[in-house]
Amino acid sequence: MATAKLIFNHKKRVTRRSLITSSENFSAVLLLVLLLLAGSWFLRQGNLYDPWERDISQEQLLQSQPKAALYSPPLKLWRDPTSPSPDSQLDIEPFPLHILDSNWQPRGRISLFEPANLYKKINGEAEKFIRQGFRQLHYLVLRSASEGLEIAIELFDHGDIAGSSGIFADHQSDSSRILRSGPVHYFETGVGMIGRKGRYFFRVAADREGEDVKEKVQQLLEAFADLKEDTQDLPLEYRILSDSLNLPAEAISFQAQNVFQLDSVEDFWFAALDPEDKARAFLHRGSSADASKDLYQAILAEQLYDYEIMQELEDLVILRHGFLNTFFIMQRTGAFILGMENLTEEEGGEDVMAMLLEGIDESIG
Amino acid sequence: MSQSDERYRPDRITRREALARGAGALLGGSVLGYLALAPEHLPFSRRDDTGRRSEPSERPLTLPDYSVSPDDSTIAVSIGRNGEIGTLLRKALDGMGGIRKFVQPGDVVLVKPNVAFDRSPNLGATTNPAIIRELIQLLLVDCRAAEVRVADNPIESPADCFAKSGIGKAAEEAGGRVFLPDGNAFRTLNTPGAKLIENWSFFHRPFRSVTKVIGVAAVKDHNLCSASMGIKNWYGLLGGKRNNFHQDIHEIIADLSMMIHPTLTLLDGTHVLMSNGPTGGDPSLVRKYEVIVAGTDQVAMDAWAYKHLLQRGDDYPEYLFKAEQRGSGRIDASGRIREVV
Repeated sequence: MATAKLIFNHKKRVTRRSLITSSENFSAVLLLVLLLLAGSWFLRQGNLYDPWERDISQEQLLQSQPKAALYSPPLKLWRDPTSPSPDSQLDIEPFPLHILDSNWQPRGRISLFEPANLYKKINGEAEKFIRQGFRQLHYLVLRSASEGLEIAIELFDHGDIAGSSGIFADHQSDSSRILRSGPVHYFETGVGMIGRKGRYFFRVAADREGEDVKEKVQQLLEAFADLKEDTQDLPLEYRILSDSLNLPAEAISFQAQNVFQLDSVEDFWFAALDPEDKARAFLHRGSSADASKDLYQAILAEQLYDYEIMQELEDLVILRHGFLNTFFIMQRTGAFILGMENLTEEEGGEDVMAMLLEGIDESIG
Repeated sequence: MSQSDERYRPDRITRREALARGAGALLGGSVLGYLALAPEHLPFSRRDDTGRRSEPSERPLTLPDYSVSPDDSTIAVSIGRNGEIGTLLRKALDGMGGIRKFVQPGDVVLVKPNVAFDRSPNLGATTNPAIIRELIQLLLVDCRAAEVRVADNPIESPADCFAKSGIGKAAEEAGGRVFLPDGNAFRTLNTPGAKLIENWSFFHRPFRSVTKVIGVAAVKDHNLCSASMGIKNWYGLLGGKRNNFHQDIHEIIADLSMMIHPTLTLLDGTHVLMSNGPTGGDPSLVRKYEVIVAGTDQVAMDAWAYKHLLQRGDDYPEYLFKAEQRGSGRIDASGRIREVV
């Protein structure tokens, strides 16, 4: 019987038991089912792990928390690192520090946005600002400790007066009453103001109306007047409109795109002659006389869909709108295109056109 | 024969068997060697030098159809007029047959307001929080919903947007649960037939176990697409670099009309931002009406709001025509509209 004592031999393995109990069979089947279930669960899960599914609920955590005091509060309270420290000197450039006081403090740090990430602040509206030469947005929220009010300040840098006046004009409605405070032009909005100074455009909006807000808005107005600006020459078109028509800055605006609602027409300056009237003078300087001539012809061709010709000379045309009966005058001289729109009378623009032509002659003379 | 000889029984293996076994071992070794060592680009190679093979892959999810056929299926748009917010809401919903036709006891309801910007409610850039408060109370008390969730994915700080718009506070006070987005809250959603978002990142976490979905949209001017209303409101559920879609905004809004089939859509006509949208900034541009619109045809609702709330006439935005072409609804609501005054 020496062979039987060997652990490894050539004999086949056979079951010598004649009876396998039902509990043993049941256990084997149960294990098999569990294995199959586990396998299918693994296959189904794959790598779609979502921690949220297996998070322990707050209630369970609270129930099972140990009673022992594991945490002793520090002597000095924790402070949100994004909130300003009362001991440190705040940096809220480009805003002056005097807009802060014991009541009004910043809610967080100042945020800076550039053309590449402006959509993070004003998604859906960023393109409108970028079209007008947007360069930077500084965003700051001030919170009043006494009332719990918040004032959001958006300060847009548009690089030059053309961009800031263009976006300012976009924000005005028929009910906007333009006011002036030193170099700042603005209109009030009930919960703040919207305005511009030089190359800057700003929007100030509080949560709600109130005397505190009005007072703070006035203070901000003074702060905007103090904004530092690089001295730069005003654009020639702006100076011609301003000097020859003797108009204040708030009457002059710039439109970068979609001028006269025509996709291909860009870079026109407008001057509102009377706040009560819709008539506006316009001026454009092209890169060359030929470029302006082409643009003149293109505008004329498009306008003829809505207007009829009343008078046409070589570089001057007077049009009348098909059903509004308003007049549109356009003239070209050298690289300049000038004119008037929304005139109620055909002769109403002669003086203005003469003054503009004189201004152009002087400026290039 | 000695005892040790009896125990020794050498294997009887023929030369042919030895050769066959050797060849088998060689073949097996070669196959395993190829799988393990062949460059990654060759077929059946298991190498993973670039890590692409072990990148997590995700099976896109699809959303169920949350819509419910109302009793009177001819009515697609209901307008509640005159009264306080609660009255307006009830009137609008009654025009559709009442909220209990749409939400049953035990339902988990997701409410999607427009919380897109860190703006106070008086500027008209976000949904009026008073509507959210009234709606949640209706859902929890009248309909005995098991849970009401409120979710949106603003690009600006979500916590700030929910706080400043007043919607976070209104939702929690009324008994709703606010879901803010984070990195783990998104999954790829498959929208068959969509041109830009066929497989796109979607704010999915609040949708787990949800049985009903209600959109509560602000009605406002929009710089790029002329108007943001009921369909555009679903843009707030997208993740990823969704700002790129602004290059083709009418297409993306038409896609949104196919992405989700809500139980109900509500349009907030109480604060309508008439121009300078979508952010506004001047309360004088916000027109206040005593109107809330409820309905199941978002295209018809948006067309109605465009004409009567934004007062832009019949020159509808391009995306409404595209949405109509894709079968998401019909612009013409005549015969399917009911006013409850």
